[in-house]
Amino acid sequence: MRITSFVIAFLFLSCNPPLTPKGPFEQQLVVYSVLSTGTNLQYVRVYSNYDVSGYNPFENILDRPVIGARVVVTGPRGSFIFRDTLLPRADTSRYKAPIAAYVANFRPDADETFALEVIVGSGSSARSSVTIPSHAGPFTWEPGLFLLNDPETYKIYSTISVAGRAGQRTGAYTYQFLITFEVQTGSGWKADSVLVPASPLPLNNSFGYVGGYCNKTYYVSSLKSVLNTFAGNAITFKRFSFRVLQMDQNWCNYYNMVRRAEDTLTTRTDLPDFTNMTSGYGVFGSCTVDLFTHAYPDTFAYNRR
Amino acid sequence: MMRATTSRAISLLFLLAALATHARSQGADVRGWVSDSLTGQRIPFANVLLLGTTRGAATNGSGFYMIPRVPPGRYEISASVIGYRRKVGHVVVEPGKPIEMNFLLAASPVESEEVLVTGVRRREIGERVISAQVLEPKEMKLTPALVQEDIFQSLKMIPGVVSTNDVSSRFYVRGGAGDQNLTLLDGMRIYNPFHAMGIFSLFDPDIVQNVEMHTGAFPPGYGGVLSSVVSVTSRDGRSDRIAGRASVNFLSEKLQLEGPAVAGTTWMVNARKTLFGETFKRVVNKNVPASFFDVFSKFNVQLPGGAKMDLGMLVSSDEIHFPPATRFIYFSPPPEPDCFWRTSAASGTFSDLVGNRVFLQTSFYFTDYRATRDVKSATTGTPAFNRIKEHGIRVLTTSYTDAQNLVYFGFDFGFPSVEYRLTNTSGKPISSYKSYADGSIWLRYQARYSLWNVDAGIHADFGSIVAREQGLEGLQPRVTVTRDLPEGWKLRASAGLFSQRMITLNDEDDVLTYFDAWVKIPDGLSIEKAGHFVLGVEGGLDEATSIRVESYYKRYAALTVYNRNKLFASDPDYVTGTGNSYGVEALVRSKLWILDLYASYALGWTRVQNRGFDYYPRYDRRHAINLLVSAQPVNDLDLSLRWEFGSGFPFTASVGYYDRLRLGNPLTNPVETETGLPYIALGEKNGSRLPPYHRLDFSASFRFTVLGFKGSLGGQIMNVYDNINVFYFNRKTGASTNMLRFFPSALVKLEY
Repeated sequence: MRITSFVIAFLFLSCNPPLTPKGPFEQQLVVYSVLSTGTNLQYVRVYSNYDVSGYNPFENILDRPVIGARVVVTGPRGSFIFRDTLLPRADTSRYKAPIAAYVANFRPDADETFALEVIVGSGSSARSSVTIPSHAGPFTWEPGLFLLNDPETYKIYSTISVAGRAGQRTGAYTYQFLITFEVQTGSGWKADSVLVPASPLPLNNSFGYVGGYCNKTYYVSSLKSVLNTFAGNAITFKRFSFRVLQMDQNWCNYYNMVRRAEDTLTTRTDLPDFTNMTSGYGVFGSCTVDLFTHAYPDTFAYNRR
Repeated sequence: MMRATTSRAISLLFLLAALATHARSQGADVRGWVSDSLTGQRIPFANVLLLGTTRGAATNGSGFYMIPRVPPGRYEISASVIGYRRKVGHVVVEPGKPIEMNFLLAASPVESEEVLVTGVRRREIGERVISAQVLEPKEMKLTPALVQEDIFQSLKMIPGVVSTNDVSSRFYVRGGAGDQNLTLLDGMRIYNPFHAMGIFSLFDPDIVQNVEMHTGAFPPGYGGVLSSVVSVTSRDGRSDRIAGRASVNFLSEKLQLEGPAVAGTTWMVNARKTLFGETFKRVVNKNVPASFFDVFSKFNVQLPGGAKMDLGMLVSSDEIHFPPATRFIYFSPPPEPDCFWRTSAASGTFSDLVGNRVFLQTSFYFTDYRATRDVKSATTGTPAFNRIKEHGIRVLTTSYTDAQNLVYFGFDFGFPSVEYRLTNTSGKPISSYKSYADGSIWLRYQARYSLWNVDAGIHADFGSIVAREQGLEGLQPRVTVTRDLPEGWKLRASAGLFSQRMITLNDEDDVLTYFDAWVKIPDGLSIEKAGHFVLGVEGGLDEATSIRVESYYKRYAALTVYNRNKLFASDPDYVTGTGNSYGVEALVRSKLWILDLYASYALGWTRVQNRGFDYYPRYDRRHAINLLVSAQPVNDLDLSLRWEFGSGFPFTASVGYYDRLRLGNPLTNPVETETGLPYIALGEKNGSRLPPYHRLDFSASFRFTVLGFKGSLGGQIMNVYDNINVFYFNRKTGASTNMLRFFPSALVKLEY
């Protein structure tokens, strides 16, 4: 009888429980922030991770912002304490509520190093630091300013390009071409701008240079589209600008990691991860925004008096 | 410079071989073949002894033996091997006149004690080579397996060999990865030696003459893998009459026919087909997704004088086909991709004594392996296709220099092509195709000096050297030294270097996978390399108990691992890492009352170093236990009970979710207002462990003879206590598929 009991107990005890690939859930902070030299408002978004009963994360229907955290960014010019704010959500298909974030009013400068500290009431914290990339440049227009000022005369050139040295600590960059103009309305002159279509994706900074180009046809058609949009109004074209944003290496790493699924060369199917937070997830990145401008001459052919 | 060095090295190898084979004869050679008296089948590993002397030899894989330089005189000579009655004859040796003495041995009933306790110690291979086992069908019959005996079920009894997810070509040997094992059938490389769900191997025991397994420090002649070698030799068809064998069980049906053709020729055809679907459909009205078939055929010619030619062919097919919206009794119902595996292989072998003392074996082989993952309506996975075609020639010469010394020289030149097509995670089709020359040359010397046995040689991975994938380290020395101790105990030490050019790709972070794609190691990466060091002792504790203990250390100088620092598409997917594994194994065999006991235990650790990151690989298993008890309480009734345990493999646990922002182009889309997408947060890499794998199997078999038919009636229960052993797990969906659970089955087998 004793042996039988032992055998039965052995048989039941030895059965494995169903496998779950889930380890113990630990509350972690998820922090996203990108300091930019291109704006006076800096944001930090602080969330917590979450778990669901099954395996469908979309069961989580509430955003998990961490409210009331102490968020401080310390730089060479002192510490900046962030305050709560609400931002409109661009996509409300999953979460309806506005985005809870932290904001502070300061503009970092290139080459400055900042330390981020997030401390929540429960005692958990996340820290990181980042150094803003150096300014890019100097830049030069290719083939030259003559093409910007008189694009339709020099028919042998098909592209307008600009190039300069990349700033230190730059992982990748992206850019825009903008045409700034003033249009005369009933109440006076009003400033406006239009984008010239160009490369939208951040580019690898492999060669230590940043640069951009746009098709001359797009440049001309952008000028003409302004004239058409404001038909009958006087227009003065003021500037043609190359606006370049240099990502620091942390943001660059994160950017590429998130887009691993867009890696057309890979044979791997794993789930990559990257964070530069000392604990938790997310990224503390930075960028430098530089503007290289060419002022149109008063005699610019596309001006309409 | 490199080419000149390589050329000199090869010239040296040939010179050494020539010198070694140049023997001076003082007496005369006694040589011959040992065969089955009934079937004519050549018998390998038989011991031939000149009684009253210390001279003797073992037959090689072709059943040939030679005792060189026997002094003139009259001798009694005996031949014996497990499973056969010993036979004694007389020879008269005259100077300079070689004597041919052939033996026809009559089979005797299997004595399990003989098999379990002393079987391995009798084999020549065990005398000089460490970590080696030879299994014969008689031994496989003692291992309970689902429905019918199976080679790999028996091999898993060997300490250091573990397997859980065996539907892919995965078994793990001493901390080695699943793709580091070489499986050969008559010289043909088999890339996926399992049938679906891992219940059966491709090799029906009824076609097998013997299986030779090396779990480490294998000798020259075997290359291209880092961990282990399983070499299956098929048997010949019967030469005395046409015979047949048919069996039906719940899961498969089989028909085997064999017999003589014209004089000196025999043939055999063996076909198996799954009955999974029919059984489950009729018995429990459920669908099971796995099915398979295999056909093996062999034709051989024995020429006058002992030469022999064999032609063998294997065709096998496996499917895992998930019908949509179907509930399975043993499988969860998630829509998973269908998978198909096909193997076609053929070989031709010629063996004969060339000259007086050189035995030649030449093989031509061809293998075509295909694996397909068909997504169809599945919500997970991407389409994939993998194909390996390989043909080549393998030549082995054995020179019998004197009574105690053997020299082996051989080469193997193959021409594999590997194709891999995949739709990757971004939906982009990727394809790679590599066709290359592979080759190896080896020289091996076996000698005995008093109490010392030495087995030393060099295996040159010629293909990788010529392709400049490695330098002179492609000349791989391998040595085993055995010291005879008092009372039959033996102490062994062994070391060797190994390399591997083909690997399988799978997701390192997946919990379990069942589709592995073979590829050649990507250009720019080092081929995989390892060194083995083994120390062992074995002997008899008493008349009824033998024990073998071995410890090992394996250093992986180069392993292909994930590039954890990959951030850009242009970064390589894989980089070269390192690793090591070490452990100790014990094997005890004993006879206790009517019980034959077999117990093995393996304790091991494996670590991988990936550019400063150190972790347990997915195949790290800490403990493995195998217990087998068999009994023959009455004549013709065999009972056996087997329990297998393996501690859980590591995996990377999911530790929750978080929403990832894409943080795209801030010049056009403000990052502050973006909504993230959920992402699975992973814990420490391989920091968690799967549940332990364990299973208890029971089998009973009764042999009978009715109306001239021999037969057996058997019953088996697999997984007696219905343990849940996970077969596959999808991290994203939570869908799991289990290995077979409690499963009773029956078998009827008839022979004529």
